[in-house]
Amino acid sequence: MASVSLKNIHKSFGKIEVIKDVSLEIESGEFVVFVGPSGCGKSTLLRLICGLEEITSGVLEIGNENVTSLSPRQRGIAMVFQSYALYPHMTVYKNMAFGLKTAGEDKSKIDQKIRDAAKVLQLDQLLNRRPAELSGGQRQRVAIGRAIVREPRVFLFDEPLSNLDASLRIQMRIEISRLHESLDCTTIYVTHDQVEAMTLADKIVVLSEGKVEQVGTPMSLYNEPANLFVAKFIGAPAMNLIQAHTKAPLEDNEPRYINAEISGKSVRLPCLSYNYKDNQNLTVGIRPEHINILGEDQKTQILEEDLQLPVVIDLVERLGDVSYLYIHMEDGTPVVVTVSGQSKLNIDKKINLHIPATKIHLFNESGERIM
Amino acid sequence: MFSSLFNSSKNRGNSAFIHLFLLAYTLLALFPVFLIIINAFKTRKGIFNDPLALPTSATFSTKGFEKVMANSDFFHYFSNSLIITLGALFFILLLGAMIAWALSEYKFFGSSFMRFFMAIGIIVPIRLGSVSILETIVSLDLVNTKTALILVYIAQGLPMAVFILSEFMAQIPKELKEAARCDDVSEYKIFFQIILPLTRPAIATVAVFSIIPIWNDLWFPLILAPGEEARTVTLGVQQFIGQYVTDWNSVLASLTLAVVPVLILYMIFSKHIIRGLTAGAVK
Amino acid sequence: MSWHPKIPLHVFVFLVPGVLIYTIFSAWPLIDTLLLSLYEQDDSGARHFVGLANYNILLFDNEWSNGFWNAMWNNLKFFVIHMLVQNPISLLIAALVSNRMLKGANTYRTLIFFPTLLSVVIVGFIWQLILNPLWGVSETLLGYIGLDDYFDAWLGMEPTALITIALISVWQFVGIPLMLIYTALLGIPDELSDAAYVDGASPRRIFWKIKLPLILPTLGLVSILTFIGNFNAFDLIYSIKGGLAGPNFSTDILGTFFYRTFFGFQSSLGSPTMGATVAAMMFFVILVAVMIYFYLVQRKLQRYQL
Ligand SMILES: Nc1ncnc2c1ncn2[C@@H]1O[C@H](COP(=O)(O)OP(=O)(O)O)[C@@H](O)[C@H]1O
Ligand SMILES: [Mg+2]
Repeated sequence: MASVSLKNIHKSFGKIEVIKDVSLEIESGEFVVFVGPSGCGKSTLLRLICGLEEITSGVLEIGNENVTSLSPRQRGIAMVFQSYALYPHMTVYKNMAFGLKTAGEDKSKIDQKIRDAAKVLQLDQLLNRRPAELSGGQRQRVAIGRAIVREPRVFLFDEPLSNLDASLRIQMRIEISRLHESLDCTTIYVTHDQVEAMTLADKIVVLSEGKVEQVGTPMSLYNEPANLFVAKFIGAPAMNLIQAHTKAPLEDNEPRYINAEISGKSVRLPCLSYNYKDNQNLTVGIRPEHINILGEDQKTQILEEDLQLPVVIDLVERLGDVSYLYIHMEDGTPVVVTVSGQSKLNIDKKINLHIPATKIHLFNESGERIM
Repeated sequence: MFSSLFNSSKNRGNSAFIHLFLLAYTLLALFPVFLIIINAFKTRKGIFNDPLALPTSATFSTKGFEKVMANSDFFHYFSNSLIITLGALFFILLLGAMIAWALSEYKFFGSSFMRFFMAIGIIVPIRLGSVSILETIVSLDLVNTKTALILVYIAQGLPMAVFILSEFMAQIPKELKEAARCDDVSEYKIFFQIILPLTRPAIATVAVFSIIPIWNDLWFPLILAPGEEARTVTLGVQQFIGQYVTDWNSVLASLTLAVVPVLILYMIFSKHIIRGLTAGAVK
Repeated sequence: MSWHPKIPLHVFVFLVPGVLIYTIFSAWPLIDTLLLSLYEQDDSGARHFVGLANYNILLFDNEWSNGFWNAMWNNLKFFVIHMLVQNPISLLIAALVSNRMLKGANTYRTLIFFPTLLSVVIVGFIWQLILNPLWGVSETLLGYIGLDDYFDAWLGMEPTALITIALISVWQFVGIPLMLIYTALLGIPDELSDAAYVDGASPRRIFWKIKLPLILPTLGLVSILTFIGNFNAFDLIYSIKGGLAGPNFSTDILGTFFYRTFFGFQSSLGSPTMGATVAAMMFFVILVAVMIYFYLVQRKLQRYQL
């Protein structure tokens, strides 16, 4: 167990800068998830922490010790690879023993550690098998076992579940979560799947193009995305984003609102602090699950500042527990609304959307959150 | 790959050692050829007085080349080799692809025997059948012809070609041919217009594996076509040098004439050749 | 198709031209050679079946067997030298140039492969010149590293001629196992060596414990290909030493022995039937090696899914 601290880390491959000035504090025992779209540099960042790639500039500390130029072994970390990277010619037992043998530990100790880990991971019966004779989930567990026996200070996972099918993925997700509870070891976990990130993380780090977009707990990212990128990335279906622009008169006397125009209609948008000028572009964000449909939901309380928009349903996707309504606004902006699975709403029906002002996210021209 | 391998000062020393070794071996691989080429352009005196020196204005001479040109029909040999190699290669590729396709696509009576039958040719060197091959060639009245060599080289190259191409064809998506069959395209059209163009990547591999042994072969030219008419470069050089052993200028010049085309072609095509040899593992 | 209803016409068309050429010029000659080894040819050219008499002569009649066993023994030495020198060097170079972090690795690989493309005949002559004491190049070069005293006319001396020729062959053909091993090494996913590195293994340990076991099947293949190539070699010795494989047959291997038997040399006439017998023996030797390869090496060396 150790804290990890990244200070102004840069990484370039040749001329291409892949990691751009990443600074991050990870506390001891924390489960941190790096999430971001494919190619944004998650793996690279993880491999930098691991010691598989050389840090171009910056300082990496593990347990308050500068490890920037140490080998993975000296850093005291273990990594679970996306492809598992099990040694195909070794049995499960030997796979787990390899690192320990390399470190020169004695046989009985190695044996004990392997048996303990095997019990935790339900690998007892499989110790003499080769990787080719294991199912995907079992291989995954061996890969984790191989990391556990090393008793690392930090666990690194690179998209460990991406090769599993959907149901196994959920099961392994729970297992990893449980494992983290019991081992209480600092863990850094990379995924491009925001559901994995939300469910596993103590703290999520959203990356985009080699930069940190936001760091925070899953709920803080959901509730208060710092910018458009995070807003789009966290939550499924993704947050609806609607273009708007400010419009005179700007009610200076009542600074809680600004006048704006959405799709040709004048609306008042709630706004706390905004240096507003006339005719500035804004993006209004609203999550599909926060949009109500007037007349559908009895409990809806409509406040004066809430938005109301008449629209027509394009398409209904019924998932059982919920249904998604696909709608477009007059200017063509697509909007998705989540409604109860029992809803009888159907295609072509005219409805009135109700968007509660309290649930609105507002982003300025450069995509930063202003409310 | 872990770049830290070459990070620390200790490993930097290690890597310097690796470069030293590889450099030394590269030198060993190329120097003999280099030595032959530079000395081919020297006078006899220059060759013996300072073999390691580049030709200077005092030692420069092309006498060797002039003699080779005068005393042997080098270009004739060269064109023979070219015709034989390319002729054989064409049929190896075409006929090999046809067999490979038949074996990888259709299940028929005796198909597994046929596969085994072709595989024998990969393992057993064709040379061992020389006694009988010569008798066949004699009875077909093909001794001292390029045709004889082309036929034998086709037989030599086919098994490997079939092996490589059928492995490759097995990976062509089924949907491609099935779509064609749904449109009632004939099996011949499927082969020539869909499959053959798709095997292009494997053809580099087959070509490399076929061309080198054919171009360089001494055995069959020696046995089947020793006469002047169909003489290949390899045999021509061998016989020329045998005749002029003591004439160093001529020997060096003829070796250079044999090496330089290969060297130039390799400089141009080395990427393709290596890619072919490693079956695409090298991008 | 009337003659065999089970083969559709188009399959027949695809197969026939190639299979016909292969059969006439490769498969049948092999079988015919094996058959011919059971015959004897008299002065009029007529052949009589003699059973295994030719083998008896070849293996046990001193006039023939001395030459045969000498060639066999030399060939074995030729092979052993390749196994001990060529293949380890190939493995070492392949291991070094397959490292993606090594600058210039591709250039080394490409240059080291070059001699393999040359004709064996050309290579033979090149080295004959270089090792020629008259020219003195080798002595000068050895002088640079202080070894000129050891230089001798290696190609001309009985004890060293075969070894020297074998090393020339190694020099030329290092490229082939190099490429095979190199390809196999590239096939090992980077994540495996990464994992081993994270496990604390040094590059050396990664090579011995992870990579080498995974390319064992390729090393087996390299061995059998080396064997077949060596037991069928001819060109190099013929171009350096001629058909007589001197001095005093010390460089005679099965290929040259076969050639002399079949075509004759100097005053003695060749014999197609005895030539066929030698070829058949070479066939059996190769066959035994291939069987050993398939039944022992191939079965023991599991191919691991990477
Ligand atoms: N060894 C490398 N050499 C050059 N570019 C690389 C290398 N590794 C990764 N990259 C580049 O860095 C970027 C980030 O890659 P990666 O960290 O694998 O993304 P992610 O894991 O988020 O999908 C990509 O554009 C990729 O092409
Ligand atoms: Mg990745």
